[in-house]
Amino acid sequence: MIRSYRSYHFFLWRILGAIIPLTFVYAVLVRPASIRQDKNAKTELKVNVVQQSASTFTIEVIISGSIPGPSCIARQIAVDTTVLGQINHAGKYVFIIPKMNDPSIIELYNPVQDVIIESFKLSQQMPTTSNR
Amino acid sequence: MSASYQSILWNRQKRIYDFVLIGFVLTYLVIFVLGMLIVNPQVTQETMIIRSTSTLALLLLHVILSIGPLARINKVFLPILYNRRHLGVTMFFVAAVHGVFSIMQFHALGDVNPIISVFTSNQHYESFSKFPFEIFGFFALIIFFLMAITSHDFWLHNLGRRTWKALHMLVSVAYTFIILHVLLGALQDETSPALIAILGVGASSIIALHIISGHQEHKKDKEKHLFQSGFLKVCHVDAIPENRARVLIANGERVAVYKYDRKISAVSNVCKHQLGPLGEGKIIDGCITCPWHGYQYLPLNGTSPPPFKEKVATYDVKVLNNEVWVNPIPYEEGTARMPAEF
Repeated sequence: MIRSYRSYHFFLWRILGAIIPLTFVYAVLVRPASIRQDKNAKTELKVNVVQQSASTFTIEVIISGSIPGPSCIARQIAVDTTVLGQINHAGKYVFIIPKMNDPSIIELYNPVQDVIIESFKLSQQMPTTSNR
Repeated sequence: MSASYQSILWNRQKRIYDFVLIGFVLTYLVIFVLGMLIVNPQVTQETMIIRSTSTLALLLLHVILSIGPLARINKVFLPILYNRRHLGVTMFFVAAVHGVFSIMQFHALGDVNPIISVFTSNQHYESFSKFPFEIFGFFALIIFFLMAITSHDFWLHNLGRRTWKALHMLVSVAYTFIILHVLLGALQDETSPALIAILGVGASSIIALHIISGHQEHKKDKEKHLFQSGFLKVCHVDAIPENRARVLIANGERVAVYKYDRKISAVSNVCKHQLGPLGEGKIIDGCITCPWHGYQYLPLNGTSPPPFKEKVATYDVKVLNNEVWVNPIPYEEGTARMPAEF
């Protein structure tokens, strides 16, 4: 190489030598809490009925611990199966679901590996803000 | 080295190089796929292709980026440098398979153009951890594409050496993009510290190698030589091995001072092909031979033997009391200068 390229090359790698390690450490530190936790930590599901009308429940799904598997959805199993939404991280999710004549089940389900992660039984008689 | 363009100027060394390279690529893919089938049998074929090609391309990129500094630190690694461009083109194809399958799997099933979807499906541009990491991979792939299509000597000749070299030095920018692509993509969902550690070791090694070799070269550029009567003192004639060179810094640029057949000649250290270090080569069949790709020059006048047309600058040399001296003012490229005898 000619001298100007050598100087540029050396300068560039000294800059990258500072930027890449700092970015690396920061990127590891800001990963979602659910990922940073022990992957063997059990996923915990807590469901509160926060409001109910004659025909619907408003439920609050609180997920703590890590979510195992590449994908996770919340679904209601009754006569039919209804997908309530995608779960990406540990946290609090709110869903409005129809009341069924029979008890229904709220599940956290991994569709890629066809695995039920957690489930919770929901019935007509549930008091508001009840816990599992 | 050729007088006319051919798609690839095959020789035994290139065939062996490519045979080993293809063998490694296939072995890696087979081992990766078998490993995934054992650990995670539910994985889809698309996911398997995306993951195997991403890890393979990342590994090849690390190897490619290690070769340059390793060859500067130790000549043992020079044979790997010889056909590095085939390694680079292979890495591009593997990375392209990863890119195409990823776009097909994650961006081609909606009603938005898949390329536009790469930029618009995730709009957390304000967030670091949720940043759309795909765009780093996309731009890195564009740089690899430009490097792969211009890797042939046809483009080296037509773009000009400086433009071509500047374009190919963008590999360090592409490497930064790839590290960001992995850090903000796969590693954000990765729970195993082993994979984070492997990437950390890889990136640290590349940075350390480039900084160490850059520091060595920088130190060489700062070397001072005794200047007397218009000539710079190089060394004692015995300090130059037969058919090899010592490198001298003259007016900020390097000069290769060769010893052969009880003669000393000096030419520019910069090869006309890819700016390789002629002073780290040796004389083969009477010609100074570049250690990078074998381009050759006659020590007497710095011209390539016919039918080739490359020329490098030459310098006046004298030997006084067995000490070699070089005039730092270069002659026009290809100018014949009488070698100093001793």
